[in-house]
Amino acid sequence: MITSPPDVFVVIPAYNESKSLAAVAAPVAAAGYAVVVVDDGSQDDTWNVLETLPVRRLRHPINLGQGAALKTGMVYALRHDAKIVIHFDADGQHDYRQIPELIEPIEKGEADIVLGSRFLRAHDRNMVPSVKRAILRIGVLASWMASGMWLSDTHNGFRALSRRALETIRLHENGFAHATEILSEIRRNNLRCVERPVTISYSQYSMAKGQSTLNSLNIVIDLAMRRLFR
Amino acid sequence: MIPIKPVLIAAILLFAVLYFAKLRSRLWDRMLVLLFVAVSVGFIVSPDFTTSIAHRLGVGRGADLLFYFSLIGFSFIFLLLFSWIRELQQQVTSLARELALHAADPERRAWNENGDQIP
Repeated sequence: MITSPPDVFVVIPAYNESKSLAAVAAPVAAAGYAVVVVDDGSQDDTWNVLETLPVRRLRHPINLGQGAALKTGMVYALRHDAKIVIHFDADGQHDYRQIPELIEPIEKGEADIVLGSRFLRAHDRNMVPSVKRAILRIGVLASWMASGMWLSDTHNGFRALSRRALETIRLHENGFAHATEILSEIRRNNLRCVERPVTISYSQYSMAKGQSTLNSLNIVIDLAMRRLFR
Repeated sequence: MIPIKPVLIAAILLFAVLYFAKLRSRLWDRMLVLLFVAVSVGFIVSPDFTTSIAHRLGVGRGADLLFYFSLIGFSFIFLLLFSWIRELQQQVTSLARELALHAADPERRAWNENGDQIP
């Protein structure tokens, strides 16, 4: 079964992304996908930039975090009968032309959720800066401890979720820790999960906007706190 | 009487009055606060009492014993406040999300006639 692009909702959380957003979102929309941009309480011109684009826009009245923005986009997609949801970054790291590869296991009925990985192909792996690579290895271990899933990559924001995954995954982490929370949810709901290679392009802009490597410590603490207080 | 004693007792009483006036008014909370005030005032009036308890627990000075207990107490309060703030944060998040979703689809109803939220 090939899902027609309008049934594929590409959810893009955006916080102060007015500079890059048009270049990132417009081609995805032009490819026919339903693009849902969640403006996470930006203080810059993000909301106005969105008005000029052929996308559906949602706006948090206050800044809540990437995890919260993704969830808002997912609830919207669910209410609008999305068949597949793609998580997509606003800073230009991801390539929308890889979406068909990413959703293929879902279309074939082989998986409920597909995680993009930077570590399945040598040339993708070489794109990752070496310090980041080392931190991500530790992240893989931390994710395994938190969720029990051993993967090749962690905190890769490029994912595809089937309708079933969309209906069962419950996210509570507002910040970046949602990425590990998704893994715990995959396990809790017995979702079928596969990894597919994706290329992440690290520009100066995306490196500045993305998570700092030190933030991984923060994520581990967030997750520990969540285990204690939920 | 040592000059610090009336100051401490006044501070404790002021705390109790403010608590009753501004904060929670459940019977249990009030009884706990009254107990806390009574014990505190007792300790202030006769500090030797804390020392004798401390000795029984193997701690040298009453002041040290109080210090340890207050550390434990503050840690608990920190944890309670933290989980309470998290709960509030979740509620604010849900509210903000519903606002965003409602603004995107003003016609769509978020609740059915039974008052249940439509997923």
